[in-house]
Amino acid sequence: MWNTYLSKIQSSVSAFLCIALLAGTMALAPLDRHGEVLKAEALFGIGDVVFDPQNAVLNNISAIAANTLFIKEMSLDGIASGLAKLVLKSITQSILTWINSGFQGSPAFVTDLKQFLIDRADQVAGDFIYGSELGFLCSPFALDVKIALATTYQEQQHGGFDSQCTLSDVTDNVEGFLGGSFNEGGWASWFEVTQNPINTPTGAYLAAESEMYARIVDEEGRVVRELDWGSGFLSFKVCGDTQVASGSQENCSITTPGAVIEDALTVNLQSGTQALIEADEINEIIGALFAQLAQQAITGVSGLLGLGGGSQYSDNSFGNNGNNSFLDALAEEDALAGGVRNPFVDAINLEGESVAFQNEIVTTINASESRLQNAIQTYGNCIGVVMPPKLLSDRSIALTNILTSSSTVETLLLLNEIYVNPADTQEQIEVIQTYQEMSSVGLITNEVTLSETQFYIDYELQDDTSALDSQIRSAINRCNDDD
Amino acid sequence: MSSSQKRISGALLAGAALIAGALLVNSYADSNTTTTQDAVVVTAAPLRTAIKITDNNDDGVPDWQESLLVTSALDMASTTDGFKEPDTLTEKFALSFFQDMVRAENYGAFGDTQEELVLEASNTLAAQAVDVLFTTQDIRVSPDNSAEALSAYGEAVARITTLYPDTSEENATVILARSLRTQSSTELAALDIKIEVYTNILQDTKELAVPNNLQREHLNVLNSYQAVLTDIQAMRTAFTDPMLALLRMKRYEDDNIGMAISLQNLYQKLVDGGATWDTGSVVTPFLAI
Repeated sequence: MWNTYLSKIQSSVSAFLCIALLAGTMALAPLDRHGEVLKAEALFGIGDVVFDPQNAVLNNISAIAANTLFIKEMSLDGIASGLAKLVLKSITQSILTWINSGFQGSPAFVTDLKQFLIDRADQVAGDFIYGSELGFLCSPFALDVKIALATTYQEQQHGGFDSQCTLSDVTDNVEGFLGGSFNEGGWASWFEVTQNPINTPTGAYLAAESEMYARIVDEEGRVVRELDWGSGFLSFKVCGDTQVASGSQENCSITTPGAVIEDALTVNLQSGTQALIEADEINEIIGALFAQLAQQAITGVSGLLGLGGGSQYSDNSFGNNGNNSFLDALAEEDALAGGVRNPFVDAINLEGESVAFQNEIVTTINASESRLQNAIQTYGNCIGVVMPPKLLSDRSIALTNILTSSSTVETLLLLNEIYVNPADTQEQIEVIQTYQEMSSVGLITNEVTLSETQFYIDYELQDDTSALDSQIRSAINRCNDDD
Repeated sequence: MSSSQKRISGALLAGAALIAGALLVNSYADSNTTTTQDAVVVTAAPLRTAIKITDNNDDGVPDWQESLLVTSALDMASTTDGFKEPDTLTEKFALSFFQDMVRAENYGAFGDTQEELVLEASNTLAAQAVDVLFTTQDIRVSPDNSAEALSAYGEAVARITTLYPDTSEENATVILARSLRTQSSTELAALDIKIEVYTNILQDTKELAVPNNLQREHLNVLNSYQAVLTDIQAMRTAFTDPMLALLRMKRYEDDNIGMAISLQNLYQKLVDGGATWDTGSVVTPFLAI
């Protein structure tokens, strides 16, 4: 792990020196009129090869190999954003057209919806009436109440249903029961029965009915939630008058997909939209869909076919960790209005974190060395322990890395200054290219590198210094015993 | 050298000077210690990991979504044309998703939760971006695995790519980006030549007789060509079927990397099998991938 890290740093330093030597020519590298280098930088392997720009296959490979990040920064982010907006517009327009057509002339989904609700309400009522939900009722007349509830519900929901028995029938039965059992409970029971509504057949019926309908309403309306998305996910400009010839538009207003759809529903469903869906809910769900789409991994042939390259193949994927598709990477970013982000700020911050890690390595190893020095000063040659070469090497590397990161930060700051205040667009493109070159050779610390360093600190370094401390303690004990 | 180039060069040289110092220190360290350097070898396709959603202004709305909060509104007519049966992925998805949305909202506890609804929709969409792969049933296989046969086959694969010049000389993404930026669907016509080129390359390569030992590599190349072709075809429909374009763009990078790797693997196996070509052959650039 650490050696791999070392390897990367060393290769990065060398590569950066090469870049620096080419600095004068980098900005002059053969670009086509769209700013793309017409040469593969052999990121897939062997030396530079100038490809035929008219060979579609090689040209694509060249673009991916040499300019992936360039394309991402300058094109793909804008593409993702542009396509997302088109999708939203197209989805809204399609829904709108469909609603305005009267739900395609046959509002099947609306009638389906109502039937579904009736079915579900029936199920809830049935579960309530025939299930164990009536356990709270006093047992002598629970069955009678169930019958009454079922009867009433059927009458109300389905109309004209000929009930098998009426409430009064039930009540008569219950009264007969009660009338014959007074001696069982005496006055105490009588008061209990008469003063607690649940203990009377009528009271129990009313309570049960209320509870049943409460549950149905709850089941139907449970999804109503506070919306946290309504504040303008995406605005549409809807124009009432558009002159086709001139393209001029009048009577325009800004609205949202949800509002547009809700308005259409209001017009086409006279009952309004309350029973269907509200604008904020539409916006929320569409917004959530796009959030999910951004995270949805869609694997291309490389992943799908499990393609592995030869030993020289280098991954040059998007994202800070190098594993993301461009849209995934997009979701990681603070996209600016223009669709192009400033990569330097994040890179500078990561370098700062890297320096902090490297300092931690140096400090930890220094502390172990101090403990060893103290022991040697106290016990002299009896200690017989020396600093492990690996720790010395690791510390040396960490010190080098601190210098490297500091150097990189200096460069990034300068590039950032140019990026923020470019003389022209071309200059901005050039500094982005420079950044990509630095990134592609691993000069710029990324989150993967940081994770590896963190792993090294937490495990490898911890083990190594603990082993040294253990040796020192054993040596001290041995020296004390010798004395 | 322009002033801008001077500025960039200055920045790089300043960094280089500092790095040089670092290198010296590093070299010194190396001279005192022996360190084994691991070779960095990538043997598998890049893994995809969960993304980190950032919300730098901490307002609860992810940054990427905020990027969609347009300052320049999308134009949309308030009146709509007559309804027609949806024939694009975007239209079909729109109606299906809307109905599912309404049902989910109204079915309450019996319907899908919003999370389920969105996840199902996203998965359904992702499935639309999957190609039907070519199999051994689709190719012609030759029993001849001799070095001569391998050489001839390798040269044929390379030569096919040169038969159909891509006169646009622009990357497809550059064309698409410009089209979206200018909101001009006519710009996408520049993709037609690429579609034609890849269609022809795919067709011709598919008809080659493949040495028996190279079936897998050949199929990978075919499927890679097909994937890139389908991506570009989807780009072409950005204004009429933007959802399809969006989905295919999400795999575009991976498809191009796949194309590079599949060609790299193919020629590596050809070389391993004894195939040789003259210097300057049409194959040469493919050996450098």
